[in-house]
Amino acid sequence: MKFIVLGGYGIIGRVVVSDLFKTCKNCEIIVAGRDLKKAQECASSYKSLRVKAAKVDIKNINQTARLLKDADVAVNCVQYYFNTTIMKACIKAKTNYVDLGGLFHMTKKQLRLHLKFKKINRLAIPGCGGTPGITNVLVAYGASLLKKFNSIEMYFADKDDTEYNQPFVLPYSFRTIIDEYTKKPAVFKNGKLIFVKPHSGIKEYVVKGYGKLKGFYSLHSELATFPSSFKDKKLKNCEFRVTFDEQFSSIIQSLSELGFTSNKEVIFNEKKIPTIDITAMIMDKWLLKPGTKIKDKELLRVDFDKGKLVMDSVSKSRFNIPGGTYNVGVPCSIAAQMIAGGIVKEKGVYPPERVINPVVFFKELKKRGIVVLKNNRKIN
Amino acid sequence: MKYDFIIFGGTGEEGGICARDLLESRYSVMLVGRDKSRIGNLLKNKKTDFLRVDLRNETDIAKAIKKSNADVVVNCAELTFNVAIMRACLKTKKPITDLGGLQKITIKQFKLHKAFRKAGIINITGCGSTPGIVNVMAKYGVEKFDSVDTITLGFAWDSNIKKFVVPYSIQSIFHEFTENPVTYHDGKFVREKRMVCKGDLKFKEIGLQTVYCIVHSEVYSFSKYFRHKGLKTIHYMAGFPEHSIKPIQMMIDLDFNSEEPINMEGKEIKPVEFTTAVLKKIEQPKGYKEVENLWIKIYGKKNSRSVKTEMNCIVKTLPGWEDAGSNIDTGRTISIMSQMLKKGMIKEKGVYAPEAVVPCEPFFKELARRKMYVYENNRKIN
Repeated sequence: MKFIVLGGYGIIGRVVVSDLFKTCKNCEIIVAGRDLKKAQECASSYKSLRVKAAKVDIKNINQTARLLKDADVAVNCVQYYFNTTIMKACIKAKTNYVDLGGLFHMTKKQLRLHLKFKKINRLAIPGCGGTPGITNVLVAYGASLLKKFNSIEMYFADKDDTEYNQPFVLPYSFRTIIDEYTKKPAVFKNGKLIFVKPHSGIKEYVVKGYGKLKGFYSLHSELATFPSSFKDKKLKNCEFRVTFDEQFSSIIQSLSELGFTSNKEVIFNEKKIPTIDITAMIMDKWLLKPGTKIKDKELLRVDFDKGKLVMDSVSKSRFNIPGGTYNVGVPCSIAAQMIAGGIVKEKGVYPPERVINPVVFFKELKKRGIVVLKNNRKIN
Repeated sequence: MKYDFIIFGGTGEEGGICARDLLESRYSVMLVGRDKSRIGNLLKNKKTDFLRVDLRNETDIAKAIKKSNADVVVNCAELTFNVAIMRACLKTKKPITDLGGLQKITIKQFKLHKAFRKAGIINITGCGSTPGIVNVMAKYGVEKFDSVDTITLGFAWDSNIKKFVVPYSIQSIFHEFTENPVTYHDGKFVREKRMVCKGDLKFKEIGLQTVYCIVHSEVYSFSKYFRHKGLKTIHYMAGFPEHSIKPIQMMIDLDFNSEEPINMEGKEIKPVEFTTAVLKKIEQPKGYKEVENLWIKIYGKKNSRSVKTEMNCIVKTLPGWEDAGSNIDTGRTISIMSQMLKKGMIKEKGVYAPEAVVPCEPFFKELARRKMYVYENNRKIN
């Protein structure tokens, strides 16, 4: 089996590559990206002929298609803005595809490529990370137990006992965080999909072992697929909230108020560059510094009908990777292997809840130390 | 054409305020800067003209001064250019005023004292609000003491609408809050820890505010000019309202003030320059008003008794000058001092801070004409 991990040297890409390497013993893995040096550094760290590096400009469909040609699955770990571009390369190369999510609007666009993937007899599963990803499969599992349900409420919780030697930690892509804060969140209410004000719907949660959390609505791709995926279950209400700690929220809020997250160009020293591009580069500095001893855990929760059924996944930090990073990369590797191994047989473009067998998936999560709970009881 | 004044940093905020004040006093002004589109209004006045000059090049600066043939050079540019502009003044033998050089650059500037004396010209350094107004208030206060032991001084400000607006040169603010503050203790300069040396003070128009020790040129110049009064301790403290200090602190914590270039697809970008450009886009909300309190507390002895004097200068947003907020106390003050220089009211030659050369009463009178009021122990004196 051969996997191409696009953006394989990024935060999540590294986790995917490492998981594929460990759990798929005879597989070939290509770490690909625009920076060949970074790809080579990442690939050579495995000291194995099974892991190789490749340079690719994902904006160039033909070039990407050439790279993907004889691969089983393209695993897309680059910024979600390029999801459909990469999928088009997959169609050209006749390659299966998985990614980490498309923040609703991109996901909608991706689903429109269904017939094209069907025609080439391949499968694409958008949104195979933690959330979207694990959350979708948790809902699929819950749905198999319930005859019908009216509402789904989703959120996550983090407990971080890491001692950081940096004043601020950027948990994942700055642009995605900004999109989550500033794009109008989608909420499914009384059978209708509506878009509400960013940062609205503030709600407090208390989760045992995680303390008090403050959540607010955020744009998420689960909302793009659940209303239709669970129509037959009479789903009428669905909402997703992110819970970041207050200090983190206030920093993001403040940067946006000061104008640092604008898409407009800023002009100085005869240079003209979109403001957010430079801000993202400055903020990259605050990604986790190597050498930090990570000790944290992340819980992803799906609540059916206000407590009637609660499904959780808990991911503790492993191999010095934060829980909330580990549980994004691992599912992507699992899904890619399920496709390549022929465990998932459907062809076309499907969200995880439609095609991934929860029992098989949870078993794979368990192998990697991620626990799944049903009403607080471990089931994997 | 011959100009009365040439202003470096003429397209910046303080340069623009100063130019407007000089024009209102019917003087002609040559404005030097980079981006002339920012001062379109000023350039409509027939008594102005614009020159684009690279301030990194001393020869070009001297050429500009010669071209304007101005009587006085007014430097409102970023403090990093102070010394270069002074050297150009030495070449052209023109007197100069500036807005101060915090600590490090001020010390470098004073090293040119003899050269200025020899050239028969003066540089008054620190002619804004602080340094500037506070220095003259200090002189006024200190003169009434037999001996002075301690001086604490600084500024505090607030706005009616609690929204972040760039209060003054953001690069100066970054300098002030990242360099370790220097205080004067028992006759010695002491480097303090940043954000640790602080206190809460109450101000009449502002209320309770936390003030932080920062590096400022007054600590250096007071120790020099008031030594003969026995001055042993000086603290300079800055007060910002919460809605201003929090974003500033955040930008510093996240390195948005960094001078270290980052490479973006082949282009070198200094975060601090990017930050300055982004913040320039922030506009004042409608009805936004500021109040600033420049303050100084002098502790010492008079007739063998311990006494304390408090001097305050209160500056509020002025009708017609709304965009400038309380920054009028910097731009208009350097205009006042530059005019005093042109009129021959200051005769000394060399490099001086205002407390050494600016006469108090006429200066305070000019402040009052601009609705900036000075109080001595709560009694208005101008």
